Amino acid sequence: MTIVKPLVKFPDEVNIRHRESPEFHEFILSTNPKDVGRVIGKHGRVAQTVRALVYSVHVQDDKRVKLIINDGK
Amino acid sequence: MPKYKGDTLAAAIENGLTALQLDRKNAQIKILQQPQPGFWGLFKKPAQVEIKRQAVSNAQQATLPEQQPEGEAAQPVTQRPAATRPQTRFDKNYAVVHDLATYLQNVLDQLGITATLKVAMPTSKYVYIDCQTDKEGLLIGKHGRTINALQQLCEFYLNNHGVNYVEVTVDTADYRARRRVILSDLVRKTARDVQMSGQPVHLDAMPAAERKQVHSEIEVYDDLMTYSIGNDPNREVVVAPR
Repeated sequence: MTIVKPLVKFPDEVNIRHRESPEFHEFILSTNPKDVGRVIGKHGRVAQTVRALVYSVHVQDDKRVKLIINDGK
Repeated sequence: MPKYKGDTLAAAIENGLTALQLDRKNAQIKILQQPQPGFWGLFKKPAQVEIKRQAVSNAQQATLPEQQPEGEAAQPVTQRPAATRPQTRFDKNYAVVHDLATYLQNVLDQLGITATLKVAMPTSKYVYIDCQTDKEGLLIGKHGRTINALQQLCEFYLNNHGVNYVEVTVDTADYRARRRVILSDLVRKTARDVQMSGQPVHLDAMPAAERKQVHSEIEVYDDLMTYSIGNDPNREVVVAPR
């Protein structure tokens, strides 16, 4: 997505999958393993703000949005 | 040669460039005077720059005597060595800030907010972005969450592009100014409460800039002190009796 791409070293390897669970719209963000730290940031600062932005998007149904950063573990 | 003035160096250059309708790249800028804050508003000096087209030769320019408005001693301006390096750094930052604006625009589009951005860079350490949009409520978010997140995101973006220690403010429809007024009301009210009750009061969590405002406003009360507790998105100021 446009939010993270400019923040990483390998923008081509960013990809997002969408999955629906009973309660959430889950977006799974995966990047080049070297970029995971960049997306999360010191003490999760970057991840925190990205999440704040993603959650601010209004979704039509009752489900909530969840952003999962795939850290390869 | 035309001279241009401004409160800061960047503002002076900006003034000159718009007046001459020149691009930064083909302008040659000579700093005549660094801005000086003066003393209690006295002896204040605006920044002064001289701008000419790049193509023109600048042989005599270096030897040009400088005129000072208040007759105080001029700072000797060496043409090249002093001016070149900060200028390139500034140029680079300027370019990145422009990229930042497009980036922010894209992010806003993704959030479904159409906005026109106005970017100003009054000093090399401070960027101010004003978003004009009909959906300011959406842009600000509950308790300003979205706008603060955007602001932080801008800082990350700059850090990732080699621009460090630059402060970014994202604003819309005077949101920050309105917040400042609300905050000082809040500060006055809490100060009175604490003085009356003698009990420390925890304020709601707020971003760093707003906490700073609270700290500095409480400073005038001799019998009160402030400190912050918690970690960043939930860091809050406590006003306590001394």
